[in-house]
Amino acid sequence: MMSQDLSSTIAPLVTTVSIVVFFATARLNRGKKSILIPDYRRGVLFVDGIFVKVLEPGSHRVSGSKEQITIVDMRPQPILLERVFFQDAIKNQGVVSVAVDLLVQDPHLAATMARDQVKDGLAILRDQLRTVLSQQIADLRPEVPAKLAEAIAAAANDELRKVGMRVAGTEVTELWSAPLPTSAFNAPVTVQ
Amino acid sequence: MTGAIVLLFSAALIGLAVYFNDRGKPTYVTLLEYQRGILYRRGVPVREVGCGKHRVWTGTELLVHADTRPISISFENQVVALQDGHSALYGILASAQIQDIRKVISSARDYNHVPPAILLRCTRLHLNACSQSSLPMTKETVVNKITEDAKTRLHAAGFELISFRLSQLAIGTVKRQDESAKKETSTLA
Repeated sequence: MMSQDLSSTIAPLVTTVSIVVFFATARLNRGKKSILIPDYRRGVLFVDGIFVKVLEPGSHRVSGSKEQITIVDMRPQPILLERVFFQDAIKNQGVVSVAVDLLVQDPHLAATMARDQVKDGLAILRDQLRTVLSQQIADLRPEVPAKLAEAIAAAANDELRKVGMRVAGTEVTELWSAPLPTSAFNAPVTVQ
Repeated sequence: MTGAIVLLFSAALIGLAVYFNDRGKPTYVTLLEYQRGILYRRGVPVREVGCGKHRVWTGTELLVHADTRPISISFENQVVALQDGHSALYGILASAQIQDIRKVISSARDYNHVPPAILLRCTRLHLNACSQSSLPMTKETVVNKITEDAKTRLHAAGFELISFRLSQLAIGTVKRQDESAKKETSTLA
């Protein structure tokens, strides 16, 4: 008798609470959308346009009106720089080909500093490649390509770090250089 | 009795609200017989899925799929400098297909770029190590070296090399500009 009274008192209360919970949840989620970030991506969260944090992989609810998320892909982008002609430190003419994987290191910087991560990264890489080669003496000993690859990667990473990117797996796939004809060195120099 | 039913109903209602709030909405994704995918739940790869209809809870799950049909790779008129100052004009013809879907999906932003990049990289690397005099004699050895190197690298990225051959190979003398190098090697060959 006592328990019947209790359940008849509690039941309407629980029903009311559950209906309130149901509609409150629905209302809270109105205007919010779920974003799923897989393990190879990151989300850069902005609230009212201001950077807040980098979202790790997982399921995230964002309010469309207040919060903005920029998704950044952390997977590598293979890049082949083929047949880049250069002049080394002693004015030898040469040709080099380089293969690298371009990766995002800092999702926030990559999202805010680079309009197109691959295009911007490629431009930096090409510039650094020429800079490094113009400071070195390119010879064709077997150990040179590996050392050159290290130097190119180090120089490129110094610059790419500023836009939240980096290169990995750098490999010089082609290297050839030739000295200028000796006549070029014996040519008379005219001083004005 | 009625009170108990009402209680149960209420509990079920709260449970449903919490469940749908947590998991999202159920949708269905159909994979064709040449597609395979990985089901991600809360950002973590949970399992591989084959062809068929799969239920995916939007908001907590994501089905990333890939095409398992062979990828054809064909490049013509590529120029590489040899060790002795000559240059070679070459072309490659190859095909590769997906072996390990998990590795493939994380191998690159666009997995279709991986096999061509690896094959071009390996071919250039091994041809650059040759000289004009040795290349015609050791063409088969060079092709085998390229194939082995490419197989290893493709395997690490989740691909299988089905076939590879040098469709074109001609040797000439080096020129400063690409175009003139191509012309010269063509005429000398």
